[in-house]
Amino acid sequence: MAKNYTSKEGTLLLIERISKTFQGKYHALKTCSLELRSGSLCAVVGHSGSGKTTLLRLIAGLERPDEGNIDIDGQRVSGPKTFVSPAQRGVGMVFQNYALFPHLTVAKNIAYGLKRPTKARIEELLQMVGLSGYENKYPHELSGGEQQRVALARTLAPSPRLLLLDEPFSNLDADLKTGIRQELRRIIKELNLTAIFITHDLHDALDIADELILLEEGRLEVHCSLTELSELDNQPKLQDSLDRLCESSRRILEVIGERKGTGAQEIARKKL
Amino acid sequence: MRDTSAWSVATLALVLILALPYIAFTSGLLAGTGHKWSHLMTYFLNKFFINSVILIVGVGFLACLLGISAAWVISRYELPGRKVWAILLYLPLAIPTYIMAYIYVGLVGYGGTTTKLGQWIGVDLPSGNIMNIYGLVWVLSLSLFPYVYAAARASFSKRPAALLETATLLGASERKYFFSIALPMAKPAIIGGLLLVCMEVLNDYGAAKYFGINTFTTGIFRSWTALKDLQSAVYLAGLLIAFAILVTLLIRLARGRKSYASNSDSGGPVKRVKLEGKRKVLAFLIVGFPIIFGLILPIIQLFMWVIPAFDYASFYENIWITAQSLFVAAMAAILTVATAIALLFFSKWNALSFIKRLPSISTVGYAIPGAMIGIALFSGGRYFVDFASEQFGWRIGYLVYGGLPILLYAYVFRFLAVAYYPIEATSLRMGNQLAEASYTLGGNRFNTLRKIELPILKPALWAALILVFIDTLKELPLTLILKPYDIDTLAMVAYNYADEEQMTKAALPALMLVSVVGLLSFLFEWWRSYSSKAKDG
Repeated sequence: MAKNYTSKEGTLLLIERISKTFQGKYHALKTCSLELRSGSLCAVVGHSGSGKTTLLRLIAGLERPDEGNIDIDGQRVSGPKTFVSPAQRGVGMVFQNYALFPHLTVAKNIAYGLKRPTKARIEELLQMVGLSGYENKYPHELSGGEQQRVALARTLAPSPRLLLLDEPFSNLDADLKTGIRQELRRIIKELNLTAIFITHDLHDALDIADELILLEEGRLEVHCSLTELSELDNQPKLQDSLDRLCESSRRILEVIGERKGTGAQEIARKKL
Repeated sequence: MRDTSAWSVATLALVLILALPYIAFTSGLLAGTGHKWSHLMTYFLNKFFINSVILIVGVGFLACLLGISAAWVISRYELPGRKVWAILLYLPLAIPTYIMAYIYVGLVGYGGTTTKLGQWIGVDLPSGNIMNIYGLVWVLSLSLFPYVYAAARASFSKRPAALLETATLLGASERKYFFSIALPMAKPAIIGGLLLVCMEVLNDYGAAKYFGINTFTTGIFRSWTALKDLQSAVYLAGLLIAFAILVTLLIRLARGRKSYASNSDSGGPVKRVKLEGKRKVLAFLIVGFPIIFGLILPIIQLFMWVIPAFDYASFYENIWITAQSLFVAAMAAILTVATAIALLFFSKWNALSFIKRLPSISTVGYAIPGAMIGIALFSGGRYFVDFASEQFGWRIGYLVYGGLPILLYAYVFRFLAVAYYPIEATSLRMGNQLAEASYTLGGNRFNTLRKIELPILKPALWAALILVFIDTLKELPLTLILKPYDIDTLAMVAYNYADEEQMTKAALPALMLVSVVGLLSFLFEWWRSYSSKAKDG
């Protein structure tokens, strides 16, 4: 399913054959390529150790690829002779545990990345994430969901071109998760942002993403749109790949089947 | 498996035994002021206060500057030989403050090493009188900054990478990250280190006495020995402890209501950055400055005194004194660790919650200056001696005046916190389940303690033993007051010779003390970094 990518108009992120090895032996990513169009919301799924977080860290510039190129908005940010620092990439990242600065108030956390922080901008961001009136609270005084919204507001404050979210829903309980998932999509679409988020839960991906990426042992195995997945019956090639590839991709078939009210066996039977 | 009566009583008894200095001290205070008190109040009290404030502010500032900058360089940057520098930066602590004071007078005083070196190379090198309060600030800072370094380094190293990465993604420079995130988050740890520095400054006797600076501690000794007024010494000790409490409260107030603990652990610890060019040179200067001035130059000076005056007779004499010092320190360490174990487990086995809180009262001795403990035991001891003599005809004076038991008791009182907290921390991590599993398999408390809990606590017990051993070897004011007649320690002998301006004679015991403490500290730090690496790996 890996495609050959060339930059097209409207492309925000272009990744060409990047690889990353740790300590010279552990291959976290193996020649992955990817193109993401401006304004899309992309979910990355895969097992633990499949290279999901490494992919995000390479895009953010927190790691350097061993080989390959990364372009953001037509600008080369990582390449054999190029490396743009994380601060200059216009990329925002929300970490799995939010990484809020514990000694700073909510307002100061949000203002941290702003060159000229104003009260109005902080209020605007707080309102956007539904936390008006929380300016003077400290992170330890907030619930998990509130902490996540603060982390999102802080990341959105400098108006990044690309938003990266590492397991944004993993620390939230089921009730909270559904609401926050939709809210996150609303904010991303309202701001016309391009975003990539990592998730373990296929329902997260199928509920709010526009595109889905499947990583398996460092290889980008599947990259398709949710429209393609929803019309799986008309996509025999994709269906065949998902069924053949690995346990994770078969799980995608299962979940889609369950959501359609049919089981994986039925999908397999149809295919036959 | 809990029975209230026996272990509650045992804990209470132990706590009461460890509270004797407070009882003795309070009874001393109730006996009224001494005959020289008004003289001390009129001529000295304001000097004691002002000098103590200058010393605390000056040493606190300089120790923070040296300790924090070195800790930042070691934890944030990759330098050649980083692991060795990291351990060497702890070692100035092996040079007791009073020995650092003698050394610096020998190094830069009139006619000292610097002058001689200048004459030899034909250059007029700066030298002068450093025996003033600013000179004292300098030597105390060089000897005590490792407390801040150790605390700051632990905090900087443990910060999760996600915080630095977030700050970087939000456009923060290295400088902004240091001042707005790393330093404020290390504040509680640095305050802890700073408190230890302040307590050591207030505890210092030898360096201040040698430099002729009037502080509460030198005042206590002057009142007791020169003015022959033990009662006024007790009152001065009371003021000293009040001052120590005030300093502690002021420093703790700076902490505020914020939480400094981060729940973010993604990305592991921060990766160190490789430096090049000018920044690499600057990093070496920051790390090298305290090592050169706090460790290398002082040791060279000690050798320069020892080598020309070396003779085997004094060498063997000092070997014998070293053996006595090691014996006293070993006894103190074993007794202190045994007391800590008893206090911890007796209170754990008892079922009353208020008794469980009592051990923390017994561990405040570390914040109380040695001179005050010595005076409290010495003055309070009189009542016990007189009482035993009058009521029962027992002659127990030798136990209080010039006996080893009272000195060992004083060491246990002073250093209990040093032993108790590492053992308690490991015990808390261990939890109760292992012991409870042993009880269900038929083990009793002592069996479980011996076969399960103590073996698991072994690393913490060793750490506690070594730390108390090192602190006891270096201790001076307490030893000066309560030293047995027939025992000499390296600290005492070095101090006595230096006090008589016999620096060449003071140098050998000082060098032996520094060598023993330095070697132990080096091995301890090496072992600690090795074991933490093994744990992480």
